[in-house]
Amino acid sequence: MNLFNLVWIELLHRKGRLVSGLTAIVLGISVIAAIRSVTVFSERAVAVNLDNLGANIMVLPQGATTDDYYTADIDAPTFPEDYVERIVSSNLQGVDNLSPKLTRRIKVGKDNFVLTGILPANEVASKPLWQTVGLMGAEVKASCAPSNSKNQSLGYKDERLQRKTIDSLGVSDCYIGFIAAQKLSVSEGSDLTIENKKFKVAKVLPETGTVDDGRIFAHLHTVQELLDIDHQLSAIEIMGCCNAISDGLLSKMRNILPDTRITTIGQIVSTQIQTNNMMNKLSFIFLIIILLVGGISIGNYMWANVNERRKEIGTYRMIGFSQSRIYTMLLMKAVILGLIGGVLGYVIGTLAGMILGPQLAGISVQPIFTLFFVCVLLSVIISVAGSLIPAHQASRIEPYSTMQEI
Amino acid sequence: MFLQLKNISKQYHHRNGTAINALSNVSVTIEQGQFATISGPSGSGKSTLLFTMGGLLRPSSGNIIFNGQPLHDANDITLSEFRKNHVGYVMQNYCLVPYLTAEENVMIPLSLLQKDKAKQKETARELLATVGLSDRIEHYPKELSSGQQQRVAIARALSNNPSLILADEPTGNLDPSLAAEILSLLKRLNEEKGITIVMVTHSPEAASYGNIQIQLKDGKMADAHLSLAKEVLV
Repeated sequence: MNLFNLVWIELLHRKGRLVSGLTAIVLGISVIAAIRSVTVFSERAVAVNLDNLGANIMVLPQGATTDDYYTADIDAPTFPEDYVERIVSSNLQGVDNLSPKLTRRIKVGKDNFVLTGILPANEVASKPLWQTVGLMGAEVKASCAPSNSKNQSLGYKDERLQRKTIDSLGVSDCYIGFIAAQKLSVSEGSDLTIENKKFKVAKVLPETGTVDDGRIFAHLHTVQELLDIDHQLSAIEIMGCCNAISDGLLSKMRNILPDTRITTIGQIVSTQIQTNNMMNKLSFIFLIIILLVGGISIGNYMWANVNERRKEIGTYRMIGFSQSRIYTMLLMKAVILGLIGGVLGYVIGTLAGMILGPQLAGISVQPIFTLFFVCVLLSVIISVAGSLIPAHQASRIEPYSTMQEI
Repeated sequence: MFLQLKNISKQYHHRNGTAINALSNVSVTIEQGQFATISGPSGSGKSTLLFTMGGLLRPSSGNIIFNGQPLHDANDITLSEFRKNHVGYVMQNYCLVPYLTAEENVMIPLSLLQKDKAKQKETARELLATVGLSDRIEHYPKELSSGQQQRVAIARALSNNPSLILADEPTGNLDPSLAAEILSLLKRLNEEKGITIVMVTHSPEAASYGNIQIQLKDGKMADAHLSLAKEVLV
């Protein structure tokens, strides 16, 4: 017989009360586990969708503006192509993809177009509409979002979530924007002469409603050679992890490329950061509510338990239990309740998330094993915190409380 | 001196602010191995005096000395140690823990003194055998008769090998034959093991078991004398 035996026997003796006490904490922890499981997988799905908004960081030549990049004037400044290698070799966390570009305004026939040189292996065909015309390639590894294979293993079927690079674009091939194709009256397979060089239209891109509709895309090195701007770039579009951007990715990049202008594509980044912040705040709000409700519930149970056991605690005190021993006994009970509640809460919450996640949120939810330890720890903390005052009250019970009226 | 109470007073304060004098300047000295009884009408302060002796209640004033150790101003830890090491309690309502078996109830005080569970079990069984309950060790209090419950309480009171047993109306809930059985058991423990016993009782027959009989009235000593001296006078 030791203190643990006494606590354990008492818990089992009052099974009904044990169930009601545990219910409060199990429900609380289940809700946390379910919400957290769904939130984590939702965040990943949201991260994928946010990444699909495209590049969110732009590296431009010093003194250039984004307008210069989009208008692609003949004398727009450039910077060396090896800047791409500098970023790659720096192993910066949160840089998911680099897309170097050289853009120049050119004349084809009577009309002006923007000719954009892209590196096929690096260019992200992130726009879902581009993929509808079959622009598929190697998978992009993203630090914000799970990999494509991970997405598939999680059951994502949405093609838009499969981010790909264009892995082949011949030196004499070009993709042509929707409006540009209409103006030039060309279709897939047509020949197109640009600056005296003959190109074959490999794809007519679907209408996107962006500047891409008026552009002609060709291999970067072909464009550099054609325009006689060897090894130079107009810009590097970067898909950066929005969390990394929040954590100072831009300033790290500025240290690597001091003679460039590095900016974010504000709308995209702010949407990404706001969405992530909102998700985090929602989780935090739920956590606070559960902590309060769980703590109060378990405190209420312990309070009732102490009142019910006044004579019994008085007996323990009479026999020689000190105040601190009674206090320890009650807190030990709270820890046991917390441990059981945490384990059950995690199992029930995770199962609820796995069942309800796909049905209600359209996402596949898998068990998060690290959440188990969080649930158990949180449950013990809630249980002990809620029991502090009842345990103190119990320790104050006088040893003569067990006796007849005096 | 084994247990000495000097000028003990105890006041209870009612919610309406009035003070009730439960004990007024009570002085008692009990030597080791004596069997003392405390008698008196209801509300005379018998239980208050007993609980004060046992370190369950702190006096409002006065001194309590147990084997040279002052208890009147002791802190909770010292009083808990005193109760744990030196005192066994036998109460009218038995004070058994309802969800523990007879054996487990006896093991509670043992758990405070030794960690070896097997030894605790062995001692508990021996004590239950001493009070004639070898066949009831796995029984819960509700499965035992009143007399059996009181015998479990006595076994528990003996488990810390006490030098003092405080009994508050131990026969109050028992019929006369069971009461006589319990009183005989207490007397036997007093005589054979030399355990000092202080017992509160309403019953003149029970009071007659004591070789010191303390009479209380309105919280004051009405009479205290050795029964031996009384017998000589008669």
